[in-house]
Amino acid sequence: MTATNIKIDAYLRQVRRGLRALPGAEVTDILNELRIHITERAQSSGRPAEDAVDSALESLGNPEQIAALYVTEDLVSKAQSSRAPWTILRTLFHWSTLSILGFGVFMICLIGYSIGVCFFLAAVMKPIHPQGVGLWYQSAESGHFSLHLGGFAPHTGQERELLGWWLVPVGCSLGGGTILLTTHFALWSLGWLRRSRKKSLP
Amino acid sequence: MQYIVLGMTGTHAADSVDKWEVQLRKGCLELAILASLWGGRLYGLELLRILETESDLVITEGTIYPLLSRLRAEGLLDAEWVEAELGHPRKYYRLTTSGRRRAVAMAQIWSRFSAKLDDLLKPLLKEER
Repeated sequence: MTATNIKIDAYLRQVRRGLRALPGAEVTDILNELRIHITERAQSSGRPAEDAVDSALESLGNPEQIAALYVTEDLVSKAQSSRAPWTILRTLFHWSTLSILGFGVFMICLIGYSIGVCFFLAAVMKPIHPQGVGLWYQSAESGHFSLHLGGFAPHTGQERELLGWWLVPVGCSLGGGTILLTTHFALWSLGWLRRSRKKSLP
Repeated sequence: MQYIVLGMTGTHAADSVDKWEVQLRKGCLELAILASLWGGRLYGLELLRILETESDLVITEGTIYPLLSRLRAEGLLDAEWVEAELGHPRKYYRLTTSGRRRAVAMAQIWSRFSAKLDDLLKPLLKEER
């Protein structure tokens, strides 16, 4: 009995290692369910204890892959059902710890959301500081020019403000658009992740 | 040389049929789970046994639990731990109202889809005999 318990514990430890991204209560629940599955399947097989546990573990499959599937299913469904940028970023952050591709997607979405927030901020700040906030255009002697969104920098008098009060509707729609686009991209990438995880399983 | 080329083609074709079958099974698994739970609550091992005997969807057993957990997160299933009189407590799954709705919708799509495909496949299957 002890030898079989050691085998089950070792298997579940491997699953637990892969489940770090999930909340503790959920992990306990998953491990309990798997442990009961293994014990019950072994008992009902009518074989000697050790053989029965071996065969139960084998048919359950690779512990790391099961854990990865749990994490993907859980994170992706949370992100897809909430669609909140914060949840999506947290999900992508977990993915980014697992692969370089995940890191790339996380960075793109982080930048996307930041740009969206900047547009919104500019639109909100415009009525508060009408003279300081805007889309500023400045041309230098060398033929270079600079364009920046924002305000509060000391103005030299050479800058021109391009949008005026249009900044409010333009900022809101560009901000909303960027955030929506980033969310779509994130969900599409997560959908792809789920499909590719499933494909890798036997 | 020609034999080798033909041999390779043969293996690849068999390979891709296998892959296609695996994908097909995976695609049907969600519907098969919802359908198995139609009659009432089941725990994981019970569900697996039904899938093994009724649906021919042989799968790595471990994949079913993450799938159940997702269906639950999506609100299609409810889960509760029930103390068994003898032995271990078991985690039972049952369909929620939206799970029942989803099962019916998927079953309708499947039945429409497979009926049409069956007609299309009849000549092929006669050929085989």
